[in-house]
Amino acid sequence: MKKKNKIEVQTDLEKGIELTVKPEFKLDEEAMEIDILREIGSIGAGSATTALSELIQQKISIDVLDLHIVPPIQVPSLLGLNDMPTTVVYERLPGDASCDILLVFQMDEMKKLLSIMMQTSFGSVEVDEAMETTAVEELGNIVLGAFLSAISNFTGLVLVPVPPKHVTDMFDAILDGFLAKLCLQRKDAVLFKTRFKCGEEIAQGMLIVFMSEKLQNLLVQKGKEWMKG
Amino acid sequence: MELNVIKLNVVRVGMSEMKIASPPTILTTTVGSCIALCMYARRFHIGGMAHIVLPTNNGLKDEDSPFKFADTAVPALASALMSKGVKHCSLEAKIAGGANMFSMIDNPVLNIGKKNIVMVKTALAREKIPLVAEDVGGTCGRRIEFDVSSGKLKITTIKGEVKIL
Repeated sequence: MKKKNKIEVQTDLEKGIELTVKPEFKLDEEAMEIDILREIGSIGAGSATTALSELIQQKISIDVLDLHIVPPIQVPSLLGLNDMPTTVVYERLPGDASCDILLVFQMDEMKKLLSIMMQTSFGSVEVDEAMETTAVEELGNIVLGAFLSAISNFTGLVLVPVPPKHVTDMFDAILDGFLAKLCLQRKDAVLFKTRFKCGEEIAQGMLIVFMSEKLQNLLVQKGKEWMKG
Repeated sequence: MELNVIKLNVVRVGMSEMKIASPPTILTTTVGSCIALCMYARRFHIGGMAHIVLPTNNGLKDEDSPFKFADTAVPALASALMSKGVKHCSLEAKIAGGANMFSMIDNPVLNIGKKNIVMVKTALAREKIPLVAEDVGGTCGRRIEFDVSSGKLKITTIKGEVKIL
């Protein structure tokens, strides 16, 4: 189909207003960029879940894989976890092309995962508080590291995060600091969300990525270059 | 700006939102670095909650809700209550939130909670609205339930601590 490159103006006679119709190629462009970001995200998510699967020696299936572009303040209602006690492991890509990556588990489910991880690695299921911190951050390091490595390999970008940290609290309380920061940086949050299931009802996790405009543009540019071969 | 008096029993106040209610209503929200600004007039049986995200709207777009920012949320919530017939001199405020959820991370941008606290208090002083109670700072999130019939705040943390302000 031939592309329309002119901006068309239509008139709604009943309301007496003019509606501006965006050029078709622009819409195609936006849709393509979203597809590229979703594809890059899914490559990362596939690698991250494989890493987690190897770590706990359990099958992991990706349940949901979404990309949303919404104002930051709408993110809590989109995710809908509200006051859920949650453990979040967090990594940040520093610099201009920055990004916040969150690995999210319900608090109790994270404890189950840690027990499995400790049993697999050391033959013990006991996890004290000091060990828990180390283990959670190590789990985050492996899973989020795999996510970033896969994207790095695909795009050729060097993505080196700061060491992971974690926090356990009500989900919306954890999220609001990230969203406040995002409000200062850009109008819309590009939210990449993957939900996955670990083993037989062991845990459901979520991987959330909030990226800066610069990183978004870089990823889209690299994706387009890859498509051109 | 359109303001509705809500008659539901429990109403959640999302980020950048403001809700006004009369009894029997509980206004609720969950905050980390954000601030729940609760303002009420006991004599008039009406109260409102704003969920503040950032300290000021410097450099940000005009289309943003005034309730997103501490410096604009305080006068906007006071005006909203006064538009319901409340006298300015009868207004009182309570605040909760402003935590630093990632205290281990050396990133001043993420410690937005502290800046939110300072700016809310400054704006309340400027508007001459007494701050009668507060539960702010720290490193824990807070679930807040604001009973507009009594003006009381019930604050719960993930550790099970409960405070009544």
